[in-house]
Amino acid sequence: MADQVLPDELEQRIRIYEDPANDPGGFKGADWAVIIGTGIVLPVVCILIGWNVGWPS
Amino acid sequence: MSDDTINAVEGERGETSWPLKPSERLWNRKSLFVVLMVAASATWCYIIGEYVGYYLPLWPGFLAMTAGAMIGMLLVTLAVVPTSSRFGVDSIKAAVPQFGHNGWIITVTLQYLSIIGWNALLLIFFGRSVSRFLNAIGLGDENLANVVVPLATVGACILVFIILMRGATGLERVAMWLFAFIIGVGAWLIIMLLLKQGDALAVAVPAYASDKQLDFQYGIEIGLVSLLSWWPYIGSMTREARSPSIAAAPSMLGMGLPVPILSFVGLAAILVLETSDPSGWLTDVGGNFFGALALLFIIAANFGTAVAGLYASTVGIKAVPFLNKVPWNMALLISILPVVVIGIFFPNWVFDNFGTFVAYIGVFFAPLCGIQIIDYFLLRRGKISIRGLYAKGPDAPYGYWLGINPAALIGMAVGVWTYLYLLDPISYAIRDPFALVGASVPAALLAAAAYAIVTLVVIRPLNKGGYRS
Repeated sequence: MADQVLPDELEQRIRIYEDPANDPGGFKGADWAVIIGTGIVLPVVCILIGWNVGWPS
Repeated sequence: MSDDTINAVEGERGETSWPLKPSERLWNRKSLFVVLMVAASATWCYIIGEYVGYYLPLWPGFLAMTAGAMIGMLLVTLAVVPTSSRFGVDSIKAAVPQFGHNGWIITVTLQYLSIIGWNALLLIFFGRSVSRFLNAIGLGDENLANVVVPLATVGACILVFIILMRGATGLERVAMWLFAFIIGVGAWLIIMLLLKQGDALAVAVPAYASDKQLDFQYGIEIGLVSLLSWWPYIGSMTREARSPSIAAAPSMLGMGLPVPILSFVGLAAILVLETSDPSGWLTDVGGNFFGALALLFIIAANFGTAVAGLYASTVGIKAVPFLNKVPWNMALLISILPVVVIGIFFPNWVFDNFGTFVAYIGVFFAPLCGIQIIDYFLLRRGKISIRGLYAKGPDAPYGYWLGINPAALIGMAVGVWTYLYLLDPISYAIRDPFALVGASVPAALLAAAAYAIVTLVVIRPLNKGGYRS
């Protein structure tokens, strides 16, 4: 891999992110709260309510 | 201008599949939320609502759709956003660690077919809405559609091309203009339907209602696979944010929630008006003035989504080795031309086979998401080589064998088989335990499990895939 020559512009862009100072990392605690709240808790609540509400007889 | 110069100049504007520099990634939570919301808010929501309305009454339908949509958004967000918004890359590059540097054969193909299909659908609605709008302001009769629909298709594509010559800047500016309009008229459509058809809606029974549990699962599944369609779109937009932390909430709330909310219109309309296409009933229910206004909304909303979709597929095309050196405008043309051809010559093909089309989205994108999620969070623990996304050859971290990861192929095969076993995308015939668990979630889980097993047993011991670096 080290032998491969990448275009200068691409090389420059890659080096930016190889510096740990420029790596923003992953999701933070509050992000996980939003993701779990809207992606797991909300669907579960919708399913529970949907089973019991508004079915015309 | 040499090829490298072309790429360098486009790179400065961020319209290549190269990583965006932090200084180029200027979208904050608000601007990303607006762009994602505008991209998600199109009239495909009405046809999604229509399909749910065949099986479920209003409120169970809305809730099932919302549950499915948010599960789908969860899968797409966890699969794409961590890598795309961390390194400023699109959905195709974000899948390189799992599929290999030649994995674009799978991912670009899926992206291209999916976006062409959705845009063909949008353009039918777009053309019909333009035609109805002209009727509403006193021009022509219903036969006008025969002329206006193909003309509107070509006109929209030319306008999209002009806007996207500016790349993501054009996309953001269009989104900001459309945002308030989409929110306002979308809310008006929902309120109008509830006020004018509330009594009928309360007792409306779906046309194909059968078993309660099965119908509810159909509703969840339709919502879920519809949101899996965002896989090809989301990376090209979340790469414009500087971190996964900025992109997380806009992704879930901006791209996830608008779909079930706007789909409510299609769901309600099919239950009481027997057509989900608002261009068919807006002027009858809302009168000529408000009907014309709302038709403008549909035209604008579809246009915003078409811009976002074609931007995403053009960035994806730039990831293809033999196309990465073509100028941006040429790649844009390659992306738009099939939409023009389908929009003019076969517009009803996607429209008439919508149920099959979305089911096939689930067939392929559910396993894809499962594989990406387990690989990023469990197998790699978030360690991605940015250089590996672009390095080629057998010794490259994601070189695998001939640039393809067999674990991903096996994972995809298991996921596709699982989906097809549980739900036939053409007949919608099901097998147990579909009524209990649907098809997309098991497909994603089993694909992820198969990928993890092959990786742990074969790939990692052979020192492939960059797991040990």
